This record gives sequence, C-alpha cells and structure tokens, in this order.
Amino acid sequence: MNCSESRTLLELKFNKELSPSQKQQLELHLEECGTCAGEHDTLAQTVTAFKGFAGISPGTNQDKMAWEKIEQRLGRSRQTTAPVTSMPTQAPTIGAGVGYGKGTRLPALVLFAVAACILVAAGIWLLPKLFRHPGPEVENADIAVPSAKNEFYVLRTEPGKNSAIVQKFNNFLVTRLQVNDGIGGCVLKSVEEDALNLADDQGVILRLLVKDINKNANAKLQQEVSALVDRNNAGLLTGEDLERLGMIAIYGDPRALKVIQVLAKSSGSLDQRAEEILNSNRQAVQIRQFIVMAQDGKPETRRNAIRVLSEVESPLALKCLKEIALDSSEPLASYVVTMLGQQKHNYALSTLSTIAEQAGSEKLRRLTKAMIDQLLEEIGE
Amino acid sequence: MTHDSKLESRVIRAFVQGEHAAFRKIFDKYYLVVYRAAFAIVLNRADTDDIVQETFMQAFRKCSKFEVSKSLGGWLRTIAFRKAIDLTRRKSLRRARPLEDVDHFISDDPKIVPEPSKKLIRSLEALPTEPRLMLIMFEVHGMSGQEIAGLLDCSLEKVKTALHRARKKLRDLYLKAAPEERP
Repeated sequence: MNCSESRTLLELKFNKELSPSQKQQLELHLEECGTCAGEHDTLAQTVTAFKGFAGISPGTNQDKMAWEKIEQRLGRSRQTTAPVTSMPTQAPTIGAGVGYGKGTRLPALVLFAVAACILVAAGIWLLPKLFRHPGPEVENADIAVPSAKNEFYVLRTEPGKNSAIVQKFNNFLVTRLQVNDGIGGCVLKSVEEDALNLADDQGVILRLLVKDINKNANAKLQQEVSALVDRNNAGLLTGEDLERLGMIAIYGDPRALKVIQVLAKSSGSLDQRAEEILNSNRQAVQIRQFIVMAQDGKPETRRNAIRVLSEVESPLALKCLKEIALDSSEPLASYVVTMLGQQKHNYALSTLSTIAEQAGSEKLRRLTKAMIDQLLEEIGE
Repeated sequence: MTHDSKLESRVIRAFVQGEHAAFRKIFDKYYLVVYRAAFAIVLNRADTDDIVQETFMQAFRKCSKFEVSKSLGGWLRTIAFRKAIDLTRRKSLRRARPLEDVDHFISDDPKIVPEPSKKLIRSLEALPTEPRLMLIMFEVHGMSGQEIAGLLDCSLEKVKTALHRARKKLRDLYLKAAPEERP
C-alpha cells in the first residue's frame, strides 16, 4: 500500500467506515510509515479531545432555574389554553413503574429501587476496602448497578463466568488505587475505560458501576476541597493540607490548584513548599499523560511513551512500566525491560528486580536478569 | 418493549393527559441530555439555556404527537439539535465569547475537568458552521453520516467529505493552539 491509499483508508477509518481487511492493511502500513502514522496519531489525538464533551455540566441549580422559567411559561400557557385533563385515578397496570399523580399506589419499582440504592451505597462503602486486596471468588453475588437511564437493577453474577470478570475488575481497581495513592474515586474514571475494553455487556455494566462510584467519590472530594479552600481563606491552612491539595490538583481540580498558585506567589510560611508542589504537579500531570499513552495508545505511541517513562525517576511512571511488562505480550514487555536497562537510576533497577521476580515468561525473566547485570555493571556495583 | 420504555410510556401517558408532575419527571430525567446536546452545538451557556427551555416547551406542546414506542430521550435530543442548528445557522457570523462561557465547561469530576476542551472549543469556533455542526454530531453525539445528512438536509457524500476536511482542519487548529492556561 502506498501513502495515498493509506490516506484514503485513514479517512474511512475516522468516518467509521473501515472494513476489517482494510483495517489490517492500514495498520500494517502505519507500522512501516512514520509519516502516515504521524497523520493518524494527530487526527486520533484531535478526535480524542472530543471526549471532554462528555463532562459538560450545567452550573449549580441551573436545572432548577431552567425549570422555574419553564413552569412560568407553562402557567401562562395553561391560563390561555383549554384546561388540562386530570390524571386518571387508577394506577397504571403495565409492569412496575413510578406513580405520578395523587391516588397512584406506590409501585414495586420504587421499593425495588430503594433496596437497590441501599445495596449500591453499601457497595460504594465496601468496594474500596474489598479492592485493596485481591477480592474473593464471587459466586452468586448480587451487585446493584445503575442502568443507562439512572434506574437501578441488580445483576446476579453467575459462578465461573462473571466472577472472572469481577475479579479482573478488582485488579484494575487495586492497581489504580495504589497508583494514585489515596485520591480514591476520582481516578476510577480511567478504570471506566478499562472496563469498556471487556468485550461484552459486562464491560458496560462495570463501566456504569464505576460511574456511580465516581460520582459519590467526587462528591466527597469536592467537599474536601471546599473545606481546604475555606481553611486557606481563614488563614488556617497547614503544611499537611497543602500536600493534600497538591495531590488533588494533579487530577485537574482547578480550585486546589488555584490555592497552591496563590500561595506560591505569596510571602507566607507555605510559599516555598507551594512552589515546589506546583513544579512537581506539572511533572506529575505530564507523567500521567504519558502513562495513559503507554497503556492505551497505538503500538508506536505506546513505545514512545514507554521510552519517556523509563527515563523519568518517578515511582508512578515505573509502576506503570512494571505493569506493562508483566501484563503485556512479549515484544512490548521486552521493550519495557530493554528501555529500563538503558537507564542509570535506582528506580529502574528496583523495577527490573520486581519484573524479574514476577515475570511469568522464562524469556522475559532471562532478559530482565541480563539487563540488571548490565545496569549493575554500569552503575559500578 | 424494554423496562425503560415501559416506564417512559407511562410517563408519557400521564404527560399526554396533562399531568404536570409527569412533565417535571421528564424534565428532571432529560435535562442533562438536552443540555449536553445543545451545548455541544452552540458552544455557549446562554444559548444553551434558551434552547433547553425552548426544547421542553415544544415537547410539552407537541407531546401528543410523540410515539410511545420511540425513545423519548432521542426525541428530545432531536428537538434540541434542530433548535441549536437553527440558532447556529442564524448566528453563523462567529462572535467572540467571554471566557466565562468556556470556563463553565467544567465537570463534577475533577479528573475529567476537560483540560483540552477550551482549546478544542476555540478551535471548533474557527471552523465554518456546517462542517463544525457535522463534526460535532459525528464525534460528540455518535450520529451516523446518514442521520447527519437527514438532520442538516444534505447528501451523505457531502457529509463524508466535509467530515474528513473538517477533521483535518480542526487537527491543524487544535495542534497549533496555545496550551490552556490553568485557572
């Protein structure tokens, strides 16, 4: 395939019209041609930016204000049109549903939804605790999950089938929670993407479950930020509070970042530490972007990101590389080990040691040990 | 019929009979759907609020025409789309917007405070109206080329070509745009 044909296929790809065979041809070409791969990656990057639209949120009470205006207009229109018919007094009979008027009985779904909500709340409380360790084999467990339309239903897992998926999901959570060190729910958003990669509707269910956990965790986090901001405004912010704000700011919280920025410019007791946090946050944000690329990008993008991460003396970056080496297929795992072997920092050495201990493949173990020896020789130990 | 559609059809039946509470239920349930549909096209808060109001008002007036077997969310979204498209076409002379509109583009989730979004919005604003609408409908709302063609009243081929050109143009603008300033 030449580059001109490749551009045509790129157009089809982004218009979601690519056939499986065309996809294969295109991928082969992109692996060989850096120019077309660059074209592909920049277009993909732009398209990915649209995901930000999923986070559009109206302001606080915006819905209430909108409803008030609509209600006023409805009131006016009711006064000028024929009177509306009253609600039937008999309860609807099709399935379980929600009653809307006086005289309707409390339907089964309301009770069911309340019960499910309690289950979800219990799940939200329990999940982080459960997921810090590999979870137990789940058999016949009931998991309350929100449906796409914000009602709740209970998924009954089947032994030997869904349990594996739930276990896998546990592992995602464990990994993410450890990586992000106590930030908790707000990082679960990235788990959502992992859940999506699960091939069937279980993936969708897990994604929705994560969304719900996220929502609650975020509400808590927002409260925490508000308290910290208030403390800062009252001049009561401590060094510990500042560190916590720093952690939160890494995940893009604008209020937390603002406090640190203001402190960094001030001449108070915390200004120097605030400036340090600001600098390390900038780096952490960048590292986080590379971690995402290393985990989810195209092969070439992943390799580039892995190379960058291997050069960074950051526990976060090295942890990501360790996971990639242990979880990925052979060429990529070897690439991680080779890149780490070229570094001369102790983080690389300790990461390689862990990989050597935990690698499932004999070939990878051998390569890792060879890299450790090479590294030790270069470091002079 | 699915559980959700059963639920919806009951709301609709109450609604068609003039039950005010049912309309409130619909508003509560679909406000965000309509808001997001409108915002992603008009890209500013003030117009979005207007479109949300107009959409629900029209839904109230025309609810008797709604087919219960269809998706209520989809129906409301289409109304919002049409109103947003009409407005955008009317205002096709692009105007500068105050930054607060863009700053309002904030999620509840601190992790997904969409850092690239302000840049993306500014880049989108530099595109001509019709290709911009097509691209947003395709990328944000997941609409097919055929659906976009139907909504914008043009041919499928035109949509496909415009999508590709707009995507490339946006890419150039987006990559050249200055990085976002942190608030």
